[in-house]
Amino acid sequence: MTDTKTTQNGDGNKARPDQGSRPFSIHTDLPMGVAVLLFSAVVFYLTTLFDEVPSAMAQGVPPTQFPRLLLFLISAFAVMMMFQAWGQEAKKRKPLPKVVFLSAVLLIVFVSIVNWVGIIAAMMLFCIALPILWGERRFKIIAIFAAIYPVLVYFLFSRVMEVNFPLGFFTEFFR
Amino acid sequence: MDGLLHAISIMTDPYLLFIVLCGTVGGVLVGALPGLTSTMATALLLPFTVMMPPVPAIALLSALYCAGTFGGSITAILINAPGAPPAAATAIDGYPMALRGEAGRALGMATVSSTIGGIFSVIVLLVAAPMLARMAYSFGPPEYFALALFGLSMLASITKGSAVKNLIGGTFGVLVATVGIDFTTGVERFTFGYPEMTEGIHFIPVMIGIFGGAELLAQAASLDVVYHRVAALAVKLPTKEDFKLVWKTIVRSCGIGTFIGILPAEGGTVAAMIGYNEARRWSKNKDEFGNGAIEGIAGPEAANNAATGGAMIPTLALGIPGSGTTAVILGALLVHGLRPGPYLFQEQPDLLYGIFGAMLVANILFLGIGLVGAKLFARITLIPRTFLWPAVFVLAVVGAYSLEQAMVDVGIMLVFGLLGFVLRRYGFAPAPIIMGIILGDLVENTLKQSLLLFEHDWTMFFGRPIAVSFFILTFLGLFGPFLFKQMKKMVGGN
Repeated sequence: MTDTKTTQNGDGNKARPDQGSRPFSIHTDLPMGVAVLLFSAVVFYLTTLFDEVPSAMAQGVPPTQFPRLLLFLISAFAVMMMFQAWGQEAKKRKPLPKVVFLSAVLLIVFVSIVNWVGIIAAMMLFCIALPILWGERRFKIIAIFAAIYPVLVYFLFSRVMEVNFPLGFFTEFFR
Repeated sequence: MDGLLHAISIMTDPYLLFIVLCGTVGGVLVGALPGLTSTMATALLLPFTVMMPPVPAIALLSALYCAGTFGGSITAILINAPGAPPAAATAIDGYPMALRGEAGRALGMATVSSTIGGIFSVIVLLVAAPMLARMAYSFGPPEYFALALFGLSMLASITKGSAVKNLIGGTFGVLVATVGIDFTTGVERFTFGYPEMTEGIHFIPVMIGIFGGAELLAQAASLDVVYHRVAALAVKLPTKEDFKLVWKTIVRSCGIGTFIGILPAEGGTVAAMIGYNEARRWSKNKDEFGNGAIEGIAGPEAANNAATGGAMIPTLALGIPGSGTTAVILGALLVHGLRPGPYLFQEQPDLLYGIFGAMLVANILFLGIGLVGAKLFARITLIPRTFLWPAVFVLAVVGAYSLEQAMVDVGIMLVFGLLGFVLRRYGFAPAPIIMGIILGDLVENTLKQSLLLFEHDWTMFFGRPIAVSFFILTFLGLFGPFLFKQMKKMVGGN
């Protein structure tokens, strides 16, 4: 045993290093720098939409000045980053597996349904869906986990810390 | 000495001792789990501590910080996957030792050197923090502005991510801190009409998202990674021969770790790397490094735990976090309505001595836990990720919500979780963003106050010697490595 971490690709074979020569590819810091510059431009535009300063307060530093100073710095750093990456070959990056995107969607769905179905049901659904998505097939354990853990968390926060959660459909039931 | 006795007397409270024990056990568990760091754990735990009185709340987080830094070494040695970034250097020699059947010896050395490093740094904290705080009495807004700027400039030199990306992250964090009502003019900035945003974006949901949510997606990306564990035999205390071999390394690493910890934004990871490199540089057995040198464990472990106390010094005395986790602890102090700095030392001595005591006790406790229970704690890695991470994210959602009981905070947590994952993938470390958010208000407010004080004459900053010193340090922090490289080239050329 010489290494502790092994990776397997989809068909179960050990991943092989790329043996052939690759064409020159653009360093990711270049498009990233462009994205940062675009972000700065959009946020700069947003600073032009700030309300007028009331005349009684007008002698201080305008509210736009500090964010604009920061945007200037961010842009300058982004240009430096692009300058450093210019002409450099991109590092080979393993493409993200589909499960990452599906997990992100699941996180969004979880947060979106809390108000609708209530926190307990949302937590339970999440505790079922994510393990299955990640390849867990011991359904009895998933069921026990999804039934017990969210209820424990709910009671800890609602009873001990007196937090009022959105309960959705179950509002009347818990009242 | 009085301070030490005061800290010990506070720790005689059984409730506080129990809290510190919980923090220590929790810290070792969290530290041992790859992916879960003490920074993430303190961020997740922060909403729980809001309901607690300040002393136990901060003591709990401080104990978790100390123990979490040590806990990372267990998995670094046994599975070659550091449970926390500061233990990365420990794996270089710890795992080869485990492979040749010396896991117990390696764990024993990691435990003992971590304890020595941790206790040394708490003693330095006890002495240096009040002294630094007394110095801060003479600080006005210009000095605090220059100090905060220096803190942000140090982001350029933290190891994770490139310097320029860390600076972009830090500045972005400061920009996030500008969301809400501008306190001098009453104008709303970037609130998009949401009344919940007028008070700004709270850093707790951001921290939970950027550490917890982003890590969940990172784990999803590495589901195919399989860890092979080396069986841990009984943990062995270092022998006299081992001590003879490593005592100089431990002493050196204690100094290095504490010093690196004191520097704003630097933390245990940088300290451990330098501790390891220095251990190798001064060793008579350089060839053994990388193949299981005992000094290669003592060096980084003493250094990363020494950095914990060091990092608390600027956090408590000046309100400038010394590391990612101390940024969260600083956030906890703010949530409890406490502003670190000289007045905190005057008004809340029990809180400060409680923190010192908690850190001291945590270091002693994890010595026992490490020696007796490391084998048991290593088993935590057997918890399947398929259950661990849903559990973590559920806590993240509930924790983000519970602070203000508003779903908008959960939305913010989610947005920063997704953003944090994308940024990490493109080489942006999360800690600078958090540092920026924490320091954002301080930077803007002190800049505005200074300009009012100077009647908008920027040049008057240069009439303040302390501020000028910090500006020089900022300049060196930003351009020092580049200038040093150029000088080296010139000297080499000649």
